[in-house]
Order: sequence, then structure tokens, then C-alpha cells
Amino acid sequence: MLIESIKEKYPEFPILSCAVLPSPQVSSVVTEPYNTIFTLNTLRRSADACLIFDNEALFELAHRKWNIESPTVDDLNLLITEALAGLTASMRFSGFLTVEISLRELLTNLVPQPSLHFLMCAFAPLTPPDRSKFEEMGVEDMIRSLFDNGSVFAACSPMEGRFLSTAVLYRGIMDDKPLADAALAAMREQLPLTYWIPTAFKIGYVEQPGVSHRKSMVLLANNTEIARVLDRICHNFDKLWQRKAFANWYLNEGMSEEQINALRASAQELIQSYQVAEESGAKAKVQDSSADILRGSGSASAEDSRSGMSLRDLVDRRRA
Amino acid sequence: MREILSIHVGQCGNQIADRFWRLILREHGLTESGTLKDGSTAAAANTNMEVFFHKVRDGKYVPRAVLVDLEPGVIARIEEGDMAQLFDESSIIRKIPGAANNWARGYNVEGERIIDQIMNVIDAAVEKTKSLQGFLLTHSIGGGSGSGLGSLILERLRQAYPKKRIFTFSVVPSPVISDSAVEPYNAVLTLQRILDNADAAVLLDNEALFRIAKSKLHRSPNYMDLNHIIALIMSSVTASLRFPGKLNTDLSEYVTNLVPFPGNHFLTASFAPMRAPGQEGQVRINFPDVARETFSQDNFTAAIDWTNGVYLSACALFRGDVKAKEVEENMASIRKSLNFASYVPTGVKLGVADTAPEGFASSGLALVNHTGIAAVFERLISNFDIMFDNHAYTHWYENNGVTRDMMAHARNTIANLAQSYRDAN
Repeated sequence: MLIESIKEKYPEFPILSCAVLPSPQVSSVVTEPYNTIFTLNTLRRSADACLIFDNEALFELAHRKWNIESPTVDDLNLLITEALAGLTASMRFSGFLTVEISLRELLTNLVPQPSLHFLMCAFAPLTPPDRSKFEEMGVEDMIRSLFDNGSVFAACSPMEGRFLSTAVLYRGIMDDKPLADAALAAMREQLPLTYWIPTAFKIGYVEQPGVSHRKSMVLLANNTEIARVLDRICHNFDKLWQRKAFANWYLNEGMSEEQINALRASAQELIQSYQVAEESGAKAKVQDSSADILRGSGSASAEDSRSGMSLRDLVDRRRA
Repeated sequence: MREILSIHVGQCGNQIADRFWRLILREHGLTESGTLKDGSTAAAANTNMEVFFHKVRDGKYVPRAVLVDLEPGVIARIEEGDMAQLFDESSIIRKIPGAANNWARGYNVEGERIIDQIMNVIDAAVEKTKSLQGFLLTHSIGGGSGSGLGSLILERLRQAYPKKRIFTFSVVPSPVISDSAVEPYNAVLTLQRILDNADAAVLLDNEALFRIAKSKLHRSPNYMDLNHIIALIMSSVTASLRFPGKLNTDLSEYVTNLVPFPGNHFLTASFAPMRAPGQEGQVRINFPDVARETFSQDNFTAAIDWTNGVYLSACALFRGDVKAKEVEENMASIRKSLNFASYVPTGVKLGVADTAPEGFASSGLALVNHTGIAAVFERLISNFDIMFDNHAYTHWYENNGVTRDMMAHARNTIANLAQSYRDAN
């Protein structure tokens, strides 16, 4: 509701919503899957991008990396704030070598199509906050950790999926910037990238270090594995909805069954568009530029007649 | 007096401005605030200060420059740095928010709001000249401000000053390092405007600059090093307009010599000897080596396809302690090694200027029109096509008034340009 009215009032400004997804490990509100699925629809329509913080993954991270027996919501929120501080640093600070990146610029780079705007993030180093003064991670280790399946803030494995777009924001002392550049370029080679998005790897630098770490990095990724996270929520939703468990609370408050089914379908569509992107991204790179260059990418109609399946064809096909 | 007005657009354009004006100040014996250094009156008398500066009442020289950016950072640093007193305050325009790496925002949304103000500032600067010969524009074509707003400025400049020469120094996206996902779109849209509105464009590729800097500096180069190379090239291109010498006394002469067919005005450049700042003069290099390095393929600043292309034209300018006879002898043998198009009978156009860049005993500059530049366009178009066909990122443009048809049109224009270079072989 709030997002919708903000968008209505300020249509020209980008909205990045930071959505915390529920996990049974953290909370015991039984109707969470319902609420999540209903909200997802709004985020699809009204937010320009949505950064997912998955409590399931955060819980695991706090447990494994920070060695907390049973992490509380405060611990998880600390992880979230570390990431948010890192990703907004390039909007807040300026300096001689600082690359200033506005929110809009970040979104330009991260959202390849309006429907594909659900992002995930990771933070390095994941040293426990009370030990950060004593243990420092090298730049290369930080980068390796960022792209490790186990350290992303969403319960999925980005390296198994496909990166649509990527941004790495590095803050702290600049002496090893060339090293970081080289390590990032090398890491990029190893990533499962999407062939139809050849250049989406944004790198930001901010000299101003964060509070708890002298050097830190945030990864923002638009990765097709987000579908797996959403699938988990849908699965939980279906279990409840099949038996209409707790559904009366919603039906009595003015929602109809059709409405709820439509919202569930909307979530499925989102999952599908990510699955389509994953499949199409794997297509072998057939590019014969010099011979092909004058064939005329031409008008919007000409390009549909081309051999090879465009993403849109794939979407239509799946829907059909 | 044949003055030149420099226009610097966007983050990259202004970072170049920072390096460029430092170099020019030193060449003309001026301090960072535009006053004559003690004892350099003699040097000043021998040069055409008026080309790049106008003199104000208290003996201060003010650069003929307009600085424009949609993000405040870089210009703010220039304003706060040691050149704080140098530029005319009214010629600095900065507006927030930025163009967000999006050509359409720089060209349409943000551009629309400030283009009139920019043109007023340019008109005012032109009014301070007696006989303006043209404009230099520095920008990058992959970002948002330099590409989108730069395109708009080019169009409006051409409208307002149809007879004046417009040279651009355009930083193109590099094959390896990419700064933003939408670079291919921004670059192709901008190239179309450069094609239509500029008289000549020197393409500079960060990747090539990085490679050159790394091999010559023997350390990991930073952006300042890369921009310093650009500044050296710009300084040498304009040296014969500023210092006594022979040949290329104005921008039109370059165009006449370098552009064989209308539209084929995309050039690449090389500067020699490349040395780390402060070490330029330490090793005395003999002239044949300077000449060889100037025309060495590794030393050019764009990713040219040397094997499948020919030279259409070339200019060489040697500065400093060089003798005309020496130049002609060495260039005669170098000319033989260059693969010129069969229908171009003349050789390399030569120029000599007395004053070398600060710190150098002698230096060389090559400015060439080579059909292998098609490779730069083809690479951009190949990336453009993959993304465009899959509707990747196009919504950012459509939402800001650039339709798919407009993008496709720009793409086809640049594809035709690449083909025209290939056909010129």
C-alpha cells in the first residue's frame, strides 16, 4: 500500500525496496507465506527493484560464520545493515577515487528487464563483528567469499544459476585497488553469465571505510536462483492454501478466492520469467559479427523474424 | 587569433580537463591560477596564448573552457583543488542528479533541463573570441552524461555554429573492462551524433591506454595516468595552432588532410615517447626511435584491426629539438612500411613545432585514419545486438523517450559506417 502510493506520488523516482523474506527458523507467524505472496505482487508492479533478504539464509550465516548458537532478529538485522551501508556508500560519500553511483545508476545496471528486478546480495568479510579488528581478510579472499554459494543473503546457490547482472561495491583503503580489479576480472570469467547480457559487471569504489571493517565488499546480483527462494515461499503457501488453512482470516477481511489465486499466479509468473531467463542465458554464444553486421537488426518487427529464439518467444511458449 | 573553445562533459570529460589544463598551463608558462610564472614573459610572447586563453584585466589568463557535468563530484574536486582560481565561475555548470549511465536521461530528461543554460554559456564564451576556429569536446561515450548530454551539446553546437570545426576526443568502451551494462547502447547512440555533427573524432580506448601506460610506466597505472596520455595527445594536436611551426595551423587543415570521405572522420592517435610523469627528459632518446615509437601499432589508443585494414591518411607532428631534414628522412622510410590504401598517393602529412611538451626534449604525435577502426564499431554492435534482440535493458531507454526504432536506427547507421570503412580497403 505504502509503496503503491509512493510510486503514484513520485513516479519519476526509483524505488528500491528491501524485502525480508520469512523463515520458519526465525519467526513463528504461521500466515507468513500468505502475506509474502500477496506483497510480492505489489513489489512486482510498483517497485523498480527489490532487494531480497532471506531470513533463512541470514540465520544460517549468523549461525555458521558468526558462531552464534541461536541468532536473534537483532543479529540478522546487523547483517542487513552491513549490506545496506555498503551498497549506499557510493551514494553517500565522494572522494578523489570514489566512484559515485546513484541509486538510479545502480538500477540501470542491475535490471535488464522490468520484470527481472529481484536482487540478492552478499557481504564480505563475514568476520564476527567483535573480531573484525583482529582478523582481516585479503581482497582476493573477500571476493571468493562474496561469490561463494554459502554467503549470499538468500537461501540458494547463485553459482548454480545464472548471473543476469552483477555489481560489486568495494569500500576501504585503496592501496590494493589494482589487485581487486584483477581479482574481480578473474572472478568474472568463472561466473555463469548470461550470454545476451555481455557487459553487466559494475564495479564501485568508496574510500570511506565502514564502521566495523577497514575493508569490505558488497555484492549485488540479479541471479536466476532467486526463483528457488520464491519457489520455497510458494511451496509453503500451497501447503496452507490447499487446505485453506488460516484462509478465513483473509477471506473475512474482504479478499476473494479468485483474488488470492490471481496473486499466487502472479508469483508463479515471476518465477517463470526467471526460469526462462536462466534457460535462454545458457544458449551457446553464436556470434558471427563481421559477416552478420549489416543484416539489419532493424525495426522491432524485423528482429522477431530472425532465426534463433528470442527471450520473448520463450516466454510465450512457456505460457502457452 | 583563431581561438578554440574546449567543452568538457561528464565525469570522464572533466577528469581529462583536469590533466589537460595542467599540461597546457605548464606549456605556456602559467601558474595553476592562470598568472604568468616569474621569468616566463619571454616564452609567453612567443606563443599564441589567445588560442586557449583570454586575458583579463589583472594580467590573468582564463582558459576558454566550459565544464559541464550532471554529477557534482569531479568538477567539485577541480574547483577545490589547486586550479580553483583558474576557471571562469560562470563557465562551470553542474547539475544533479546524474544521468545514471543512461544515454536517454543525459540526452532527454536531464539534458532538456539544462541545455539552454549550457548554450548560453557557450555563446558567451564565443563572444569573447575574435575569430573562433572551432570546438574541442572531451567526453566518454559509454556512460550517461558524457554520452547523452554530450550528444545533445554536439547537435546544438552544430545548429548554432554550422561553419565552425568540431573535434571530439571520445573515450570508447574497452573490449575487456566494462564500466556499465548498457555501454554498447550509449556508445552506439553517441557515435551516431558524432558521425552527424562532428568534423573529426579521436577515439580513445581505456583498454589500449591502460596497456600502453602499463608497458611504459612499469607499474600499475591509474586513471590519472590514462588521462595524462589523452592530455598529451590533445596538447600535441593543438601544438601547431599554439606555437610557431609549419603546417596544420588550424583545425580545418587537419580535416582536409585526414578525412578522405565525408563521415569517415574517426581517427586514432599515438604519442611518443611515453614516459612516467617526471621522467620524461631523463633519458635522451634519439629521433629515429621517437619516430618509430610514434608509428608503432602498439602505441595507438584504439583497438584497431591492423591486419584487415589500410591507412586512409596520416598526420605526424614532431615537437621540440628536431630538425626538418631528420624528420623527412626518417618518415620516408616509415611511410614505406605503412600499408596505405592504393588510391591514396600522398604520404604522411608532416608538421614540426618548436616547443616540446613540458619535460620532453622531443616528442611525436601521429593522428591517423585507418580502416581497421571498423573493428571498434563492430565489437560495439555485436554486443548491442545480443542485448537488443533479447530486450535487455531497453526499457530504461523507452521509459525516457528513446524508442526501439531510434535505437535500431542508430545501430544501423553505425553498422553502415563500419561497412563503409571495410569497403574503403
